Amino acid sequence: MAVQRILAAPGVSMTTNGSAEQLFAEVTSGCTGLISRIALSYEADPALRRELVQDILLAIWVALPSYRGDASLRTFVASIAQKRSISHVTKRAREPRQVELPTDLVSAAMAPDEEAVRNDLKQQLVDSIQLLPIPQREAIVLCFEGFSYSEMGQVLGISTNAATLRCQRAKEALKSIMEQRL
Amino acid sequence: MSGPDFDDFAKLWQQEPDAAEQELMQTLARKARRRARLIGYGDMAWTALIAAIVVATIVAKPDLFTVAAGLLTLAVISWLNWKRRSLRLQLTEAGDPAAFVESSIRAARHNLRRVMLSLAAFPPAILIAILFRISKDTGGRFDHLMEAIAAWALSLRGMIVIPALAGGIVWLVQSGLKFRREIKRLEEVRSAYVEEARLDAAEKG
Repeated sequence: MAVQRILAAPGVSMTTNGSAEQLFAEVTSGCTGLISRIALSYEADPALRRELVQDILLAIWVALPSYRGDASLRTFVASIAQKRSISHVTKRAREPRQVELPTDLVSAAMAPDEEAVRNDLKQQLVDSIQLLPIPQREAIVLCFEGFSYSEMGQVLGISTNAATLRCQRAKEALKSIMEQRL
Repeated sequence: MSGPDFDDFAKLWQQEPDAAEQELMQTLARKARRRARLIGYGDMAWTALIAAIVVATIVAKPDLFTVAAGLLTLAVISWLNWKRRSLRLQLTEAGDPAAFVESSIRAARHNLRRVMLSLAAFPPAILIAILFRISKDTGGRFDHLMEAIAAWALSLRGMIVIPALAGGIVWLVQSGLKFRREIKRLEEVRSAYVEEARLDAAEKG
């Protein structure tokens, strides 16, 4: 971590305003992909997803003064993003509608075949992840993001052992959904 | 899994967003920072305004009661600000996701109770206000109550107040329904966490 943090007793605000600014700059330069993908696993609608991303960024800004540095900034960001996303899906005014994509969408982008196949596969993957129960969805996204089981345990508030098992179940569930779709 | 395996999916998932998406993220980050600062400045401006009013009142009428009431007001405002700030923090980092869901359920139930209480108190409060007004106009006589209420309802004030009150009631009903839906979804998420924890324990055992 490039940013120097002030150490203090647990529960006490750990960062100065200046370092919170620096940390936020670090988040916006290094964690936007992670935030965007976590939001994607919860919200299919692009406009609502932008709102969710903004909520996540605002929540991170508010929470940064309490960042103690006992976990990596990425873990801290993932933890907040997951909770904001849960809040977002439970506060939705109505259940999301399943929107059929227009058939000419891929050809309109004039993507080469390989890219079209890859885009299609990614869409299938995102749709399948969104079908998982939230605890498994959290686990699989962290797994895909390359978090270690210990870090996953920190984000999910469970033991490393339990994180391993949950990830395994999430993989099985995803495999089963993907097999049905492919 | 036939076709692509788990590592392929991980690679596909980790694809960095394209340039347009990254630019959008930077814009959203700038907006979030601006919004957070505005909220902070708004809080400070509101506190400063109240403090200025309290101080001006004390200076205008410096007796013991005014000073005590002013100091109490300032203490309550400071406490409310501190409480609001810690609540905001708690909302963003209340332990693990399962604990967060639990505290969200409590908050949503509290909001629903507040809405139901407002809905229950609203009609009697309106009736009392109308009766008070009629009593004031008639010198405390309620001989022609229904006619008086009808006359008030057809007056310009009644025509403004009644739709506003109806709008308020509709808004409260909608809020109540929204909180009920939120609680239902949160309880479903909580059940999913309980089930996962049960499976974790069963597989470990």
